Amino acid sequence: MLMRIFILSIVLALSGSSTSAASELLIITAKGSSEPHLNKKKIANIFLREQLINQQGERWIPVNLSIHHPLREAFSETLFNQLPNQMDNFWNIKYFNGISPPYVVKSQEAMLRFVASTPNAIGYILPCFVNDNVTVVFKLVLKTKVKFNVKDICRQHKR
Amino acid sequence: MALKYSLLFCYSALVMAEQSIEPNYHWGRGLKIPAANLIIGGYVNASYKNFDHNPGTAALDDFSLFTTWNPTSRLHFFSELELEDSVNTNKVKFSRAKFLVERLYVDFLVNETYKLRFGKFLTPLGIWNTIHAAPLVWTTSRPLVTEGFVFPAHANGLMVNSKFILSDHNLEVSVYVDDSRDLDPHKNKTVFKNALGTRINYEIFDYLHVGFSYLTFKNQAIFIHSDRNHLFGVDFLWKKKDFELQSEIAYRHGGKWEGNETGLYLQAVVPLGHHFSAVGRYEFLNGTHQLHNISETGTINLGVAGLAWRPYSPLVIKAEYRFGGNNSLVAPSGFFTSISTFF
Repeated sequence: MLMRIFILSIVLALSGSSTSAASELLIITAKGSSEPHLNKKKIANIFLREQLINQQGERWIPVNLSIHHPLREAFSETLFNQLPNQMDNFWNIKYFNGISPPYVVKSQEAMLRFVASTPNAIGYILPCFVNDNVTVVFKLVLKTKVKFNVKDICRQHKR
Repeated sequence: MALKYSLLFCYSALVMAEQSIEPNYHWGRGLKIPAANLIIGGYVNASYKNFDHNPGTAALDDFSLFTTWNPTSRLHFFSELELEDSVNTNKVKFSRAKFLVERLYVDFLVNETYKLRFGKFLTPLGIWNTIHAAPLVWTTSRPLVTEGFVFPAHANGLMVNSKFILSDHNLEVSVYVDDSRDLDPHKNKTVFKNALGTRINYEIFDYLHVGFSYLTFKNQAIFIHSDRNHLFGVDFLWKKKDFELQSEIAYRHGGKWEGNETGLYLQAVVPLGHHFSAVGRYEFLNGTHQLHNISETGTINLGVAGLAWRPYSPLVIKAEYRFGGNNSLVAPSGFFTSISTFF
């Protein structure tokens, strides 16, 4: 019996190695920026442009991945309980009040470069992407485990 | 005067825009000029209305131009100039058409929590009035309780707005004072003489918001005698997976000249697929209707049944039929259709 369970565990581990699920995202800001009181709701408000400035009175610059990126979808479902494409009317209302949605970058590498080089920018990446140029301000546990080829993506990034 | 200030602010912003490197335009999000922190956009709305027993009328109802300028992290200027009812099939009024100042204000972000707004803004009462733009709403016709029967749509003055997080839910409180008599050179159809109001909006869940409003105001002389009115309002919006249910209830208590008014609507939106939604609304209005200078008093019941199609996010095409009882003078039965888009 124990042997069966052992073999089954190995089979499951091997089958999951190519498409493991992302379960956590890191919320990042530029190196040195300190925002000690961030929590999940505050981060949601920053990305919804409900909160426009930080404690120092400087304007937040939230950055998103593109609308169909799996990480953006997981981020959106975790913070807003909606997929990005279900939020069109929300952003139309914001536009009616003179407020634009966050900037969009194409990849996590681009996110990392933008956040690292832009004061008051705030974005999100997989843990394996983090480097010394950014500060991790919050660990966001994803509500839905999106199927995402995390290991391959991380391996490619490290090359 | 307000128009002059608005043009001056647009001009100064455009001068700065000359330094721009990469301006970009997206349909429904306007022309962004990042070097000047400037966005220019707006919306347009054209409609066809055919009231029962009357000839139909097509019209360009709204052509609105937004200008947003953020010169510093704490300052936010916004203006909306609106060309209203410039063309319809009964008459072409281009020569007399003029831009009205719909909104013109500056926001000062005091800190993370507090914001000051000074200028002309939409009266923050209920849901519909602050998002009344045609591409945002589900029907061509507007609920009577939001249309000036109960309160004027614009305020001119100062507003303090605060946003708090209470156990992971947003609570927004606004308090505003109005002095339209002195601050608004262009008078809308119904307008405050002066007012003091407050609005509280609480997010019970991500998908359920409730609002409470109180307003005390005097109108610009509808009659020689002007009463002080007191208004109480409650509203809610429930929204989940493209389903929506929203309602506003308002009660205005005036004196013997302006009388009382009670109104409500309840609207439901159901997605049908392929970007189509079915919309149904019930409305009730009871009172003197004196803010609209209508002599007929009494109770109006209305129903609205329609469809809205949003093939792309900034674009909406709507069709609806409105019917009711005792409504011929205030809100006649008939067919409405419209097309509107942000640009």
